[in-house]
Amino acid sequence: MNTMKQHLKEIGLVFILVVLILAGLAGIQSWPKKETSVGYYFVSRNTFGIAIYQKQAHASVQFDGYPSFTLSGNTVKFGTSSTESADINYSRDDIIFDDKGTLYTEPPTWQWQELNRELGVALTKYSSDTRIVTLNSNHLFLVNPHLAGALELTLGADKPATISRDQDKISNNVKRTSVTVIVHDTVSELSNKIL
Amino acid sequence: MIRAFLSAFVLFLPLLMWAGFLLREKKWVLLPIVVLSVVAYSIWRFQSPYPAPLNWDMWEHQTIINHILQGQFALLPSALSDTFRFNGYTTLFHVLIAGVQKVFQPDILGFWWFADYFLLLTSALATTALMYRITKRVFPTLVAGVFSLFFFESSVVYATLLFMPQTVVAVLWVLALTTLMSCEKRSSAIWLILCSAFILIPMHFIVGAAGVLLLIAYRFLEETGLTKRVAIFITGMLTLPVILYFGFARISNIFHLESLNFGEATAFTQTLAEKLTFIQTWYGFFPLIFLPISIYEVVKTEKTRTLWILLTLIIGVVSAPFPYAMKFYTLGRYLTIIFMASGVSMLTHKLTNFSGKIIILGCITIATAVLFYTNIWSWQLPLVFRSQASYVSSDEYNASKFLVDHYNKTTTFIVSDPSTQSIMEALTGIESQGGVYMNTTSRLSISQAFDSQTPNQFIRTITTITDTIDRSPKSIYLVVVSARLFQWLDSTPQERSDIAYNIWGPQSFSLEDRSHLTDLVKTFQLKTVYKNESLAIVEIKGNL
Repeated sequence: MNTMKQHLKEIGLVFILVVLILAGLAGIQSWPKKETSVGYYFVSRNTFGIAIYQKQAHASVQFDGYPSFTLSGNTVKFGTSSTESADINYSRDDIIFDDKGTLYTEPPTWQWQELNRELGVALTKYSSDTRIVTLNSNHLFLVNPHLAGALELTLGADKPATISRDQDKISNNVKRTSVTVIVHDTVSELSNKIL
Repeated sequence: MIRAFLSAFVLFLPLLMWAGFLLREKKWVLLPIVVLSVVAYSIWRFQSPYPAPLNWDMWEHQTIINHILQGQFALLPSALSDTFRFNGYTTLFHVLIAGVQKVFQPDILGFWWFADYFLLLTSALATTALMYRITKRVFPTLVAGVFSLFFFESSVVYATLLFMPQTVVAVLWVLALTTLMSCEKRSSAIWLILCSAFILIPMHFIVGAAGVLLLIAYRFLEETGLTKRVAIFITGMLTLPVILYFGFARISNIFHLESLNFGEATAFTQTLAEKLTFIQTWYGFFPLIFLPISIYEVVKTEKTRTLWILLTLIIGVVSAPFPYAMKFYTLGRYLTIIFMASGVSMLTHKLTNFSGKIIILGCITIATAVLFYTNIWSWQLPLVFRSQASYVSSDEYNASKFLVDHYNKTTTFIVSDPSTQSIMEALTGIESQGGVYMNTTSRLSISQAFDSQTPNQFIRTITTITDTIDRSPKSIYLVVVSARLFQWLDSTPQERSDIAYNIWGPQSFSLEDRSHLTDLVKTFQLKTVYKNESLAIVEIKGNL
């Protein structure tokens, strides 16, 4: 009987201590936000969806319609099971061009020239000033002039998407189940990808 | 890597042996502490592998070590390098490191990587030695060791993971205090305190002197038996911190302490609320739970009452609105940990079951490891660059190797933003003006140089920047045009002149930076001698 009482007492003590230890842990100010580092960039969820961004840069590419992503090396694959079209929102200063050398955004001339120099290829400006542009290719490149590195996007469908130059977004007009993004450390790495 | 390990190991060997001697009655306790120290260090380094540095203080210390290795010597660091504009210590710390670096010729980053580990280990062993001396029981000793390993004071104090004079002084102080507790004879105690003073004070004038005063206070309280009476202990415990708090608050109002250390002191003056937030980040609610419980245990023995009085003295000073007040907590953290472990011990005292104690120890280890992880995650996040937390990128490291191979240390001079030049100066041994503590005139000159209109104006402005200690003529100026420099130049004039503001984390060139670099080289007709993704080095040569 005494042994039983002793055991119960000890179990009670262990229980109290475990509760106290958990209470000590409750003082943790903030749990780490899941931010996955990919090259110069980070991938993490925010209020709107999933974003690729660089720290303290105030520039991100937002993949709002894609609730999930997988990571393999420097490749991030965004996916959705929804049949609705999904937009990709980029930052105001981002420069977007495709693998055929067509420049879709409207950067200042010096940025365009510097990009040509880095790529070793002369990019051609999109032929019209229309505000919504239909893409010639689903294989795109995104460079922010204020950030290191570059993003390579493959939209993964045969029908063309559009870019809204005023709203800074790439819109998928048909169902797309995935977007593949490859993070590059340098802009010059893209030169052999332009046809 | 082996030479880096050996050099750090030999440097810490006296401390490891001292702690081992103090734990000689329970040598097996060393084993779990060593194993858990490897676990703790692996968590700390999970995104910062060998030899990535997480200790930004190492640059200025390595600069002094480089001077000593080149055969120069001075008692104060400011006499060797203008990186030191404020002498917080003598060069004792640097001489000791220079000695092991001379013998083993380690990779510099590798040495500091291992030195941080041995600091973590010795601080945990010192804590366990102190706890064992007080309790003579294994369970609270192990709890104290676990607390020491996983409680990291990630602001101002940096007691366990950043190898620097104040943190080494704290470990020495704990070992001295533990030894002092065993000194029966007054003469032995006096000798010990005197020897400690000869090491602690030159190692860090403020923290070392505070440590010596605390050793004297401990012996005084023990000898006079003032803490024998519980009533006096309780009165002292309640009044001393209040007196010290208001005393230091008053002093900081009388003097303009903000001007201390060229304004850096303002960055190290925190409010009480900020300090409490720090403590919550480091320890969670553990002090709130276990410190009050420990009082019950403390009141019972005279030794612990004396130590508690020392802790309240430190808390009084640390709480005060005084620049660098938190630095005194480098000593106080060991006593806080001892008493928190004492609180756990008090609750488990009646737990005779061995497995019950193992469960509790396991829970404490997991809980503190989780707390440690959340604490260091936010600390390291701003330093994550290409999936690695580090103060220096591989690009910067490679550039420093290039400079070592191609330039003479005595006739060359580096100019860049404070962060870049402090890293380059430490890794190459080539002088810069002030390193990370560049003076206001040089900061202004760099900003003006990059606004120059002609090549001559650029060169003239750059070459006005000179070392304020080493006046020997320089035949080559190397301007390190780094992504950090561009970001620093984009900062506001106030930020650029602020000694506490820096581009701490590594950066890489953006398209915009590359364009600026191209224009710079073309406009000022500069010769680029080295270039990678993060920086370019341009050479200004001739009769300067």
